[in-house]
Amino acid sequence: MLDREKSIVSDAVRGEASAFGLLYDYYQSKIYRFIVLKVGRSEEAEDLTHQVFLNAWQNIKNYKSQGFPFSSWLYRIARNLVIDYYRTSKETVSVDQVDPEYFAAPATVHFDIDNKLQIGKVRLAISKLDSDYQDVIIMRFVEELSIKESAEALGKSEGAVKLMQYRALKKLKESLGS
Amino acid sequence: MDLIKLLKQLNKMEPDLEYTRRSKLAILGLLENNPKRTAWGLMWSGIKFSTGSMVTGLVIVLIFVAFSAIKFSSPTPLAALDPITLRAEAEAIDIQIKLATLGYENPSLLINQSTTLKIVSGASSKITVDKNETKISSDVPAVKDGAPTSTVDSPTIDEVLGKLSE
Repeated sequence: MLDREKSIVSDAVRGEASAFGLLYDYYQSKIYRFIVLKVGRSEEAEDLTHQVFLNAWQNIKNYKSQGFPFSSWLYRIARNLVIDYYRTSKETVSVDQVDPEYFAAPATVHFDIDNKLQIGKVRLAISKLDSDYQDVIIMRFVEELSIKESAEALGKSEGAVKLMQYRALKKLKESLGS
Repeated sequence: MDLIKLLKQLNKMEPDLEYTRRSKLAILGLLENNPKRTAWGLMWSGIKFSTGSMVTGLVIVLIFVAFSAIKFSSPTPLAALDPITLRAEAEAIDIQIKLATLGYENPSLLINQSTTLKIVSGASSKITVDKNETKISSDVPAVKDGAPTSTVDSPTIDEVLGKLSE
């Protein structure tokens, strides 16, 4: 969570662009990773990330702080946009037909070759999971959000998140083992 | 490799920096340039637009009126500045000068000039000059200090013209 986040969010709600700029700087890469791991393509992930922050800035006056990090609200916007993206996307390709190289880490990330291939396989396995399981895996293990923060972002109880986490990990291991 | 460790490594993925910069500028700049419009805001912008239009129209009318007033009330009409008219006038002046020159170069006038020279030399011969003092004959009017020396009794042009006509 960002230092002095509460006051920064309050300033942003009052319409201060510089305050929203600070929130953008801190959360943009997190939201981008969440989206790119769900949609696969970096160009589309960039467009959707841009749309998330645009929607957030346009509707920030409606934001009500409930004691959770601002990221919970951003993740909810991102989830809805990804759902809309898949609903409106005409071009559908089965994940099984996609080359694992497609999911390899981008050139901006410096992994060794073996690691890069393993990362690609993990990304491919994540993309095969159900949307809710994807969300839990990304929030809990990639972004390392707490159970409480994840529950708030997903709109579920903490118990439901724990159960989903267990099932998602099991599915992921099965997918990687097969 | 441990699955959890691999998942944590995905945290290193970052969006393109240039995209990040442009996206941020677009989002923040867009809303600063397009604030939400309220009824008062719309009314105020309407008033500003109509006032601006009226002032512009007024300035245009004033410029037109001022230009027209200058054009019609000026003692020198602008048409007189037409190059053709100016050229015609210049040519006419040139002709007058030539005529005047022709008059002075008339041979009879040259005779007149020689006659005038004779008169002037005759008058000057009556002046006797001494080494110590200057004596002026009674025929010639005395010249006072500081007075112009060209007070010689020479015939006027009218008299010369009168003689020529005889």
